[in-house]
Amino acid sequence: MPAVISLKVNGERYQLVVEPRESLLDVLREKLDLTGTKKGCNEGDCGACTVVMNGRPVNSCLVLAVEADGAEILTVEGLARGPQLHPLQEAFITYGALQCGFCTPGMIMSAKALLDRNPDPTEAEIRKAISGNICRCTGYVKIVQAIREAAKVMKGDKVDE
Amino acid sequence: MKNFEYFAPQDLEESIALLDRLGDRARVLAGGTELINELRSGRARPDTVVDLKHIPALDTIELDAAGLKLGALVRIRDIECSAAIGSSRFNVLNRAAGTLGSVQVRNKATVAGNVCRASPSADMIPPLMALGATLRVTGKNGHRLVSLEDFLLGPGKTILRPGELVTEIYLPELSGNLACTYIKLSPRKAMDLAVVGVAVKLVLVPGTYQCRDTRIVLGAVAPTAMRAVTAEEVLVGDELTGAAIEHAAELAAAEARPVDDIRASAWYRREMVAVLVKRSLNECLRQICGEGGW
Repeated sequence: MPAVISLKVNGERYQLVVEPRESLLDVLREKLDLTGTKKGCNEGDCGACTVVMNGRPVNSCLVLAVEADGAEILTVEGLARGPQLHPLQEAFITYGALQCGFCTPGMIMSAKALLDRNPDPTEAEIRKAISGNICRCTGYVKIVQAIREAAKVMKGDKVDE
Repeated sequence: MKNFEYFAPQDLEESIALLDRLGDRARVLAGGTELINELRSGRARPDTVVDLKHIPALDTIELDAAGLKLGALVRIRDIECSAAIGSSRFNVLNRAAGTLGSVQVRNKATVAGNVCRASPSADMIPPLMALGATLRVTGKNGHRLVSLEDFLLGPGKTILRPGELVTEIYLPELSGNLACTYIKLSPRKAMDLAVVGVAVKLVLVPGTYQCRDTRIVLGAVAPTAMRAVTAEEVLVGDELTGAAIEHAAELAAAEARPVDDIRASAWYRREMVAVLVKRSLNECLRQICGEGGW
């Protein structure tokens, strides 16, 4: 039996009719056309579906849409301010932290959640924060570098070029 | 995924009544990091899913002179990041929690979920057992207290009957000269199950290396986490010399009942039990005495 849920995604309120078996991932992609969040393994192992839910990074493939009733969700589409990219997005481009780009939204959301709670992470803390996000292309070095550099910009230590 | 009815009851009695009525046509949803996959793969085909997360007061952490009380729905991530637990004598729990899955998984998975799923390689179970955990099991007839050891029956099997829930986990206060460790052996630093997990609690007679009490809990090498009782018995009352530690480690390895599976062979697991028990006892010694072990 379908349910009506009310949730905020990237600052906008939505009321949706969903079936209990639909995941938050499917609802974001199929009902809200927010296809930035990717379906990789659909099992909670790869992190490509990572979104920030009520301030915490979670695998949206493991969240039932009905569980997101009343929640605040942030997806990769919610980071840029119009044409102005978020420092994480800028850094990923500048430092070559993506190749195929499939892991990138999830990786950026995990990084965003990290920097929100720890604005000055060590390399070990960065690596631990993204340990639930698999990248098959880059070997992670550029990703870690991009996150570190974005952190500096966000702290105001460095001006974004 | 087969469709199902979804209920999110707002109180405990309502949930218990609902689960009791539905029996095994219902599954309980807490963090969902196991259930969602079971639903998707068809391993679980309930008519109804009962979400516990709207029941108030099941997710509190209470630390006081009596010990530590963990609400069933306390998330693994919250244990990992709890400053209160981290600065208490229960801080092995922070470290154990941090080894489970990924940040994303830990933000959903719950401590009771990890216990009730009763995976032989569960990460929270060995340290909870080493700390003497008791579970509050609530059903329509009230509550009962069950030790974690009695709670677990086998892989994926506990003493819970349909209509019963674990609502709290109790850890008695810890006193004396003690330390508690959890070592998880796995190929990767994250996103892996334990190939072998060892939790050790060691209590020394003050000012000596004599063992007053110890618990040695082995994970992933038996149908459930298990106490290596012969290893424990040989240590209690005796001095923790290098030879005593070696002997205890060998006994623990002999007691283990590992199997071959895709992650490791039984032979390797048994070898690693000895290595990790020795390492754990030495680490406990270091933490208590502040100097090198054997």
